[in-house]
Amino acid sequence: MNIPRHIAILLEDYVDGQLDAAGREQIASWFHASEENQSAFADWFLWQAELRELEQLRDLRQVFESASGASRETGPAAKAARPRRRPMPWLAVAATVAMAFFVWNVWQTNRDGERPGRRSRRGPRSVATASVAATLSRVANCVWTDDSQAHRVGDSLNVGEELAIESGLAQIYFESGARVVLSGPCRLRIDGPLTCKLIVGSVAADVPHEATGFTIRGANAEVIDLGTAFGFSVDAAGVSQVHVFEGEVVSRQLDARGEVVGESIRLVENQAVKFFPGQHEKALQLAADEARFIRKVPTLWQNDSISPLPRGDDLALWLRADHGVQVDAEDRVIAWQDLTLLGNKLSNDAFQPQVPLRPRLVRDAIGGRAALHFDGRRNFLSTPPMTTTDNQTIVVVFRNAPFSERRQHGGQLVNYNGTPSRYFGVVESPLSPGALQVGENVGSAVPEGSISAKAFFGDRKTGSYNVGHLRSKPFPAMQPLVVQYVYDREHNVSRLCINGNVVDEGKANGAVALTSRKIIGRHGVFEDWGFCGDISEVIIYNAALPLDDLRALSETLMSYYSIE
Amino acid sequence: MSREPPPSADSDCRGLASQWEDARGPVFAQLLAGIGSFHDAEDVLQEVAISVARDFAKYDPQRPFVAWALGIARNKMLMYYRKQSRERLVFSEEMLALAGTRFEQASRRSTDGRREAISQCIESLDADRREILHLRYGADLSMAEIACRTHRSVEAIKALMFRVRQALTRCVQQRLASKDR
Repeated sequence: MNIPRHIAILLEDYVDGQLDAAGREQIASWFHASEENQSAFADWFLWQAELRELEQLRDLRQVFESASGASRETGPAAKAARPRRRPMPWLAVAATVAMAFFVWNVWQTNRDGERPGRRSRRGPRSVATASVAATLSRVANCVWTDDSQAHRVGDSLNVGEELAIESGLAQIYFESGARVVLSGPCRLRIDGPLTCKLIVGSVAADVPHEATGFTIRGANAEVIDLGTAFGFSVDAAGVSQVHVFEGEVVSRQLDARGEVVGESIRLVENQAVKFFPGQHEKALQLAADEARFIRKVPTLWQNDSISPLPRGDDLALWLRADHGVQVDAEDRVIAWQDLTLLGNKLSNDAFQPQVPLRPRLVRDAIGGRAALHFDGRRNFLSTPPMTTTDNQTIVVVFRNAPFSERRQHGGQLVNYNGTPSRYFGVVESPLSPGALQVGENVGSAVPEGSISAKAFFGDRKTGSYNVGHLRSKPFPAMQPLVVQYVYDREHNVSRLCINGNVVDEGKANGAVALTSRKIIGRHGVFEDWGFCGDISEVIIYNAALPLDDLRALSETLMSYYSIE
Repeated sequence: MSREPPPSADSDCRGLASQWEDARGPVFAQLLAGIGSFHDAEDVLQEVAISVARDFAKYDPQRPFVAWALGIARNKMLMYYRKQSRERLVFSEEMLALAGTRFEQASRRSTDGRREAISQCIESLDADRREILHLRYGADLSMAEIACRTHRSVEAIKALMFRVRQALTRCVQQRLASKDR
């Protein structure tokens, strides 16, 4: 490629959207000077296309490898059980995959009128659709019964989908909020956000208040939760056992057709019941044995030394990039585990199962600490549906990347409006509850560096309806910041703090309590509002923190990240 | 609503897919030259691919497939400009037409051998250079973002990228030449 250096640099500027008129003229006059230059110009772009394609094929290769179960998250045991791949002519495979994608894309377009896998304003990719009932949230030493049916952490699980593991542990978040841990060998079918069928094996369920009524059915019994934690097992002979660890359940015997027979048995903490196949033998009540069940999948951070936050009460989510980050072979983030050290009893890990949408882990970012780097366009993470209250505090430690023309909008750090979104179209009156958003000048088309937050209630013909829309002054790119947004409905005040200082205050007179996916690094719906930069920490409290607590928390975080 | 069946592997799609493999690189290069953004060029590339597949029955096999696909790409690019309300191409239509002829000529070189050579040459680069390439083409970072990520100046990154491409060009030429012998 015989292209002069100064022209190559101008072409790089062009691809970055940075080419000015003088540069354009320089390229044009060079181009027209000779046919050789014209060939060099074309060759430069062909190189771009080839290098880009090779990197994209690398992504495809990862998808291909993941689909065959060779990804890191399936655990060492799974890997060991799998035959080693022979050195493969991967280009041929990738080209085949690319061709298949091409034909598939055309087919999908014919069928749906919209292409999959491309940017869409309809909603974030990889987030649940109507038939999704659960998410595979954690695994440990998990060996799947059939590799072709193996799931990855963060995968959405549809109604009717079955999970079968030979050994190890797998944890599922149901859309209702219930968490179920499978201990291998185990087979379980997802029947809906509030129901599943345990075919064989042993599970432990933690069911929050909002998922009361969550039901697990076995071959000859079912257990209906009344706000509790319990274990349920079905052995190969068809004997079912229900053991209650906390709270209360109702358990009932089923006949071969799945119809309820006999009386409901109410069980409370430390009680258990055993059902036998057929209806000849009566159910046997006994003492609960919690040791028979595994209630937690070990976390990635369980052996880390982590200093607690100054305030632990009301903590709903705590993500810190130094701990609990699960990455793929390219350091892209599959899962960011909630540090359930304090008041957040139910963990709410954030996920991104799709390779191209994963942010990248940077181990030496803000103050030498780890961060997740978001590309401003595609990358984001999503929590499962989690319940947040009318009084909220959102804390994010981050730094944004330098602005460029490619970033048309201020990117969002945290957005409570993950799909299924309730805010589509223009409505005559505000919807409720509102969805909180924190980011770079949220709602503005100009990402000039200011930080903004608000509760978004919907669009009216006259424009967006927001409450507590607060803004800071612009900050330079790459400056690490601790942003705190407090929405205190109880006292009708919202507050935006940057690095410990209150920079804006407003009202908070609308309800914002809702159960939704919380999106990190992008708008909940629009892909254009992606954050470009590094996020080290995300904390959510189901409380409006008072100023003293905000200051203490800010000081702790600024010290941890060496922010002056 | 009626649904069309998926294209059969035994139908014209095999020929289409194979020809598209040869055309995709030049088409993408042309779109990138005209649009100037990987992301937008990739979006338009998908639209071109769909049009190519839909209109494949209308394609005259007497004409070069790549030229036909490049023509579709030009139309899609103009539609993209209209949709984006951008007033004019950064480079003139004449300039892009001249470049288009070169893109078409480039499609005649062996795609597989070249891809393999590029891949091997990338593997032979040191880790630092491979990372720069990955940040640029895989992570889709701008020069400024790469500079920020690697704690270097933008000028240093631009110079390094230029050197990396020179090295790759030499390496690929050598590999292809040694294969031809």
